Amino acid sequence: MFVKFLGQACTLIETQNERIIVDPWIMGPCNVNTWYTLRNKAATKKNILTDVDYIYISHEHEDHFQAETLKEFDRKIPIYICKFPTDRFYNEIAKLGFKNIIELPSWKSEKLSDDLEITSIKNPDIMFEDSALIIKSKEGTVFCETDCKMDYESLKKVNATKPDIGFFMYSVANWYPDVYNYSKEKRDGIAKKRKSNKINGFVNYVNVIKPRYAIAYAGGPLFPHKSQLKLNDPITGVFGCPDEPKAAWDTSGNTGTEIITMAADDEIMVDGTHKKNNEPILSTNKIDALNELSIEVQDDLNKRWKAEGEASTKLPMKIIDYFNKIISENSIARKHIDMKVQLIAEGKNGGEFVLDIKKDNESSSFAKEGKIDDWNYLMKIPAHLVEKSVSEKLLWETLFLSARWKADRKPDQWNEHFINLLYDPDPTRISNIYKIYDKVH
Amino acid sequence: MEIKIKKEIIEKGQLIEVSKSPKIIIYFDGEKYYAVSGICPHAKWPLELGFVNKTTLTCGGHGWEFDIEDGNCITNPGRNLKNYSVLEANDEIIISEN
Repeated sequence: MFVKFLGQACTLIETQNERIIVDPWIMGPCNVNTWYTLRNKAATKKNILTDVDYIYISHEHEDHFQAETLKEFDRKIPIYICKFPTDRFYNEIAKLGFKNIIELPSWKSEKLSDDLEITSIKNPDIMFEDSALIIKSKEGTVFCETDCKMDYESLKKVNATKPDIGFFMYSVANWYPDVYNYSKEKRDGIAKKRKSNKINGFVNYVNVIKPRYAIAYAGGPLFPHKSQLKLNDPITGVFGCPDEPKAAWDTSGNTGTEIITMAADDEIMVDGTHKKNNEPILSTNKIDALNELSIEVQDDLNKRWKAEGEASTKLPMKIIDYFNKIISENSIARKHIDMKVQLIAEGKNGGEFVLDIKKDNESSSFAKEGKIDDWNYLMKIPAHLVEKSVSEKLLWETLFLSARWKADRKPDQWNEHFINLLYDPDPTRISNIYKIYDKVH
Repeated sequence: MEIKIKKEIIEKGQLIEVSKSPKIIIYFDGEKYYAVSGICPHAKWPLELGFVNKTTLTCGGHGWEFDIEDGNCITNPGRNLKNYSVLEANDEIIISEN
């Protein structure tokens, strides 16, 4: 049994007779043409190993579920996912033409053959859907955290399976603080703390699960577009490299696990034998790798950005209709969100819009054109991307992860309720969430 | 509810579990004692695995931050810890509901 690491959160687990690929994002950018995997050279079709028996996808973020890579796979290959409270992820996979999608209840092991068993583990969050995976064969056990923010009891249960190899997330992969209107000093302070907290989490995850070998993965991507190069700074950037969690583990005093730094395309056997097929991208060589990648993909990226098109003249009406609908349908969410949002759709056919999501707004009008000074949240987003999101062709979360927008907030605090509404405004989902949330808080 | 513990077991700068049910942790910064609920509301990580910097308690799992003085969540307002009243009485600390 061995695992081939294919970049970001993609792993191919091969036993004597079978192969399962997890979270196949290999080729091309994701998140609105911005993210690339940590590779010295952009991956091509030949890097995608399509001769597999099974596919597992942890959740819908494009660095785990990317259409450009999945298009290369036979649509008859069974795709396993976690059974989530909603069907949204199932439906997104079905839209790509896959016929055999199997939902696995959390922690209920599924025997795929005499020698292969997988166990999906759902995250505990009530708002956002994600999962991790255990793959077990007679030859050994592999754990893939993917991006899943797991509860502590689940980690102890994973430990009880005695994994030989574990893949653990080690880096922030988020738009905070980079899109916010902070002074450099404040932004750098937040980034440093976030990075450090994430690496501390990596050390704690590994220490609880204690596989014999642990690999830091699902970390920060490369942003090679010329307008985003500053996001990649290995010192001040929030996105880390795998040498950083290894150093943190090695100095933590914890024992029982060896941390192995793997480059995309490297392989590891269950006995820890590490076959190196590439140079890993570390904090020491990241900038060189980025500069090379940036030159390599710049023309392609520019073409992709151009192909995104422009906003239509109908955009103002679409924005108003969309927000009026999702806010009016979800009064319970509005009571929790309780803020005013200034949305600026930048560029051709864009404009300025006010979203009044205050809890005491009892009118039926929640969205209108205009400008206000007393906003709590300000979002400045390219108009054509806003149009894709209000037309339900682009998830807001994917747009936000692209870091192709700017934001500000007063007071400067996270509002999970607003993000949750945009994540999926389905009234049944929202209502179910607040039945639980209001009981607990 | 009232929990009495000897001061000598509370080491300065350490997060210490003093009750399992309800789970409560205590922290002594060298001058003052703080007691809050000991499970992170995000993913139920035991908060004694976290760390404190000034008055900010950071969960060791996913980095959620809390003000140890009042239990309020800094990173995600509203997802607060319960905070408890702490009284010093000679060589003991008495923790009770607020």
